[in-house]
Amino acid sequence: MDTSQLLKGVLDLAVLAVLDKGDGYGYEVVRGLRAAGLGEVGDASVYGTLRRLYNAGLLTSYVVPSEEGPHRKYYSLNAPGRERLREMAKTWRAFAETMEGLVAAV
Amino acid sequence: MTDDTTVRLASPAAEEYLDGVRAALADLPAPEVAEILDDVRAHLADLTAELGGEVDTDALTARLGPPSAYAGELRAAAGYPPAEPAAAAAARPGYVRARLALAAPIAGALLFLLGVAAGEVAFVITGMLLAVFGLPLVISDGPRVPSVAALPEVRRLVAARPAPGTQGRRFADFVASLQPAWWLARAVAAAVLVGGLLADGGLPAVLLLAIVAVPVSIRVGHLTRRDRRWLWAVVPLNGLAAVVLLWLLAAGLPGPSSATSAASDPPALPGLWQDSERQIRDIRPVDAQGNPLTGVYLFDQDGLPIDTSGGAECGPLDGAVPDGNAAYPRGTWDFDPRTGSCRHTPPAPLVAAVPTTPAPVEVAPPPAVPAPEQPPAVPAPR
Repeated sequence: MDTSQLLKGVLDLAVLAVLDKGDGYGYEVVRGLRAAGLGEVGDASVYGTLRRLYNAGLLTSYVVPSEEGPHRKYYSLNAPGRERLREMAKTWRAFAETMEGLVAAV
Repeated sequence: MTDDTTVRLASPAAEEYLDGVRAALADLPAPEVAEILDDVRAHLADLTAELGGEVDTDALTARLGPPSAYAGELRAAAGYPPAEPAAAAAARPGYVRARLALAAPIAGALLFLLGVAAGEVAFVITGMLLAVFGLPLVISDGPRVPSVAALPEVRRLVAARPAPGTQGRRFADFVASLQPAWWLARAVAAAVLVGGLLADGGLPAVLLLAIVAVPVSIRVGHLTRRDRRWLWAVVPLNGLAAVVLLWLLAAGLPGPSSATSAASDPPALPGLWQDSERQIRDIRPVDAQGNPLTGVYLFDQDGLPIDTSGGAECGPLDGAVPDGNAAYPRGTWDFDPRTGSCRHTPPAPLVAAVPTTPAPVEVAPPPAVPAPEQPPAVPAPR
């Protein structure tokens, strides 16, 4: 089964979870997901997800000037974002438990 | 500096990739596209650094897929509607609009300069109007004016900047660092134009206006760095300021200085003046008893005739011309705005209070006594 199909449903949760550990710019989030073992997530999907979460009011952003390259736009979890993360984590745990029970016998 | 973000991508491949993504997102709202492209630009810079500093388009495509696929994936994840096939065609009218928006201030500035050079006020005004006409075309655009920035000719111009680290870039950066000095200069130009030339207020008005104009100009400068739409208003005005400054340099500050010299230079005033405050338009001689004398000729210490007619606002074309050689009292000449010519008023009956103390009737010696008394009294108040 293609993991990327599964990922689509939980990418929001994954991105929120990475940002819960600390503010990060786009590529830091990509690297955070990779480091956690989600190697199949596309870079553009992460950037798109960040934009959507930001537009939904779950993230704030601030720009940090950089000597070398373009400015880095850092994304940060705000209170509604943390609330959403808790809800999604709860849903995910219940879902994972259900799925585990379903496939345990396999 | 924020306006450098578009050129900080050293790699032409990354720039090209970014253009591809921009084109594939052209149907989205401009401010949103600008935000996305900020992210993508940083992303490409990070990838370039990760891949060892130099990348070609193939390396980027191998890592991210083609720009259209990257944009598609981003759209899907961000929840934007998928790109319509017509999106590319729809971008064309955007180009036309952006080109119009770009051409308006340039044509306006050229027409303006032409008008100033030829002294044609109509050209100057048309140039200003043309520049203003470009404003509504860019106001709906984002602060970075993405639709204009996406024009191929603008991108070529930006790409033509000297590469970082080269001599040319260092020079360009140095010139760019002088920008605040220009903000000061244009504020002074505005103050001279409004205070010195239009309102004719002289140096005090220019200084007062400059105190207001300098902070405003600096504020506008910073705003323009953040929001490039200001350029559409700022560029034509900068052109005007440059013309004023050049004119000032060529003329050596004639506007304010000539305006003030007229007020502070007494010798410039025609006619006879008492302490340069009160114009003496006629002299009414009386004898020691206070009886008015007529047919009196007056001379100064050098024996030169004293003439009061110089200050009269009458020209040689007027019917009644003051006679500089006539005997006193002569009467006064007044300019009558209704008839547009001069009118002579004969000396009216006069009662003069004559000092009673100097009893000696002999007139010859006493003038020697009051004469030294008067000169010190003249320079003292001045």
